[in-house]
Amino acid sequence: MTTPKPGRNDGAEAPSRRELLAAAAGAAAALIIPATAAISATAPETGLVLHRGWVLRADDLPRLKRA
Amino acid sequence: MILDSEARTDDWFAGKVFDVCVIGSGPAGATIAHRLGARGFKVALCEAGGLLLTPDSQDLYEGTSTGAPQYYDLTACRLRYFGGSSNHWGGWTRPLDAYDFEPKAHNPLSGWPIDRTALDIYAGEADAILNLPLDTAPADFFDNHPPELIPRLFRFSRPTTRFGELYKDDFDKSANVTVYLNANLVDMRLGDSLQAVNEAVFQSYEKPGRFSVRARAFALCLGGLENPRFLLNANSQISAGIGNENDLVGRYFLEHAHAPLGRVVVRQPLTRMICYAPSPEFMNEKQILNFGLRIGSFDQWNRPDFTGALDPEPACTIDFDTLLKAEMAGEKAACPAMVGDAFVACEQTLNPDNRVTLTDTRDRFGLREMNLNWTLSETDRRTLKTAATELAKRMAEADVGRMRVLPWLINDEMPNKDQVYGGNHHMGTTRMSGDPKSGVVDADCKVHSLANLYVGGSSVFATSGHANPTYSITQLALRLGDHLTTVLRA
Repeated sequence: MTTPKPGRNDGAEAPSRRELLAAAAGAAAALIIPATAAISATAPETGLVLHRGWVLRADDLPRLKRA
Repeated sequence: MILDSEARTDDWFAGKVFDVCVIGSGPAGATIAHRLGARGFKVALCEAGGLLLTPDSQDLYEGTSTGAPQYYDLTACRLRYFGGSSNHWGGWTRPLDAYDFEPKAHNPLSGWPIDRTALDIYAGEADAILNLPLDTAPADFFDNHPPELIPRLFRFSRPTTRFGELYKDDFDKSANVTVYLNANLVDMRLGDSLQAVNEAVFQSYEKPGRFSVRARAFALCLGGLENPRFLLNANSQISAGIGNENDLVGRYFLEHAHAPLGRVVVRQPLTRMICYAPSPEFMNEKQILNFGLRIGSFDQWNRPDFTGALDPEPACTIDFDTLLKAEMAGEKAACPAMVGDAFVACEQTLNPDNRVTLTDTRDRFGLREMNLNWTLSETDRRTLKTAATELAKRMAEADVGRMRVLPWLINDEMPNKDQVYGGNHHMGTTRMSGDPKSGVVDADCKVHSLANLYVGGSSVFATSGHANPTYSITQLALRLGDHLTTVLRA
């Protein structure tokens, strides 16, 4: 017999969703590395760079290093 | 009046013909029944569960799912008792966008046979039913927001409307609406010409035997998964099932693909959750579908009392660069007004293989259980990825903040169930179309092939947009109530 699970719909507050969000947040934290790591250029014409998933302005990393 | 069909006697239905038999008491069914009862029509509102949740009823939602990402447990993503799934509704609302009703070349079969103005006239009534605050300008953190991203407003039903609670007293006192609890729909019997429904056939849990409710019109409002499941099961006179002449019942299942996109750090404190949707031009240029970006805080917007306002506590005076550097190093800054989450809910492609089918397992009433197949298309994945990268790009360009995009979105990987999941929004399975070859119901929510069978709820959505569906379900129910009023008075 199934035990009906209380929860909310709209993808909000359902117990399974809370678990999913916690898992996603954990995975994201684990993948972030220090700002000194390599920079990969993404769209040079926009002046933006992709740094380990962070979409940054070209002057962000030098400035952050000094901060 | 509210009656328990377990206590029925032979004279309850003998010789009686209701004006309308509404089946299902969720947002659609309860709204239709209430509207028609208030106008003097005799309505039978048949609910499969009781006033409270019971395992006997909920177990009848058992089924299987296939596809990827894996879908939710089908017994947990909806509720089978008086008031239906509104009993665990989160209260998020917004109407569909006007351009959701228009066809898009990159989403074959898209487009509705009505436009948004057909629903707009019910906005005031829907607002009142759903306890919504006034419609105000949406928050926007761009001084001049890019034309690609349009600010959008979500309004929250607070206290959240539970349709059973809302209408119970009115139904109890009503001389026109009779609620029959524990009435499980097991069949519909058509007239000899198979062009109209004569009676709906029910069973209760304990009392043996079946009973029939006769009416001039019938409104099937069982939810986006059970509407097709019932129609496919109703094969006692038509082997393919009722309304399924063109093999469309159960097909084109739509969800909103929900995905966390990554962390954000902003320059100015956020006081409200911020939402953006793509412009029609941008969707066409990128060959993507609609999406709703949300920027704020998971922890806050998942609260059941969330109203859109963000709590800035604990207050924080840390400067932007320090916060950004800390986030980039994986340190969680306790500065909720300036460090948060980006999230998206996306429209899905119309895919005939995303569908409800019947399995060989039968429930206690002999109806076959369902299998739900749910997958993401290339367009769906492109929409998710574009939503994430566009927001991150625009934030950095305008220097309003920075965003980290999760790796699967950058690397074009197939997402798993921890990365993309549904919103418990079940739509599209008896879709609306002006052409019976591309939809199950017509513009009036009437099953194309039958004179008096109507469908209520999100299964009639022709496309889903990104908006949570309850607002549009309510508008469509009010509209169907008006249509039935006209038909029954003719």
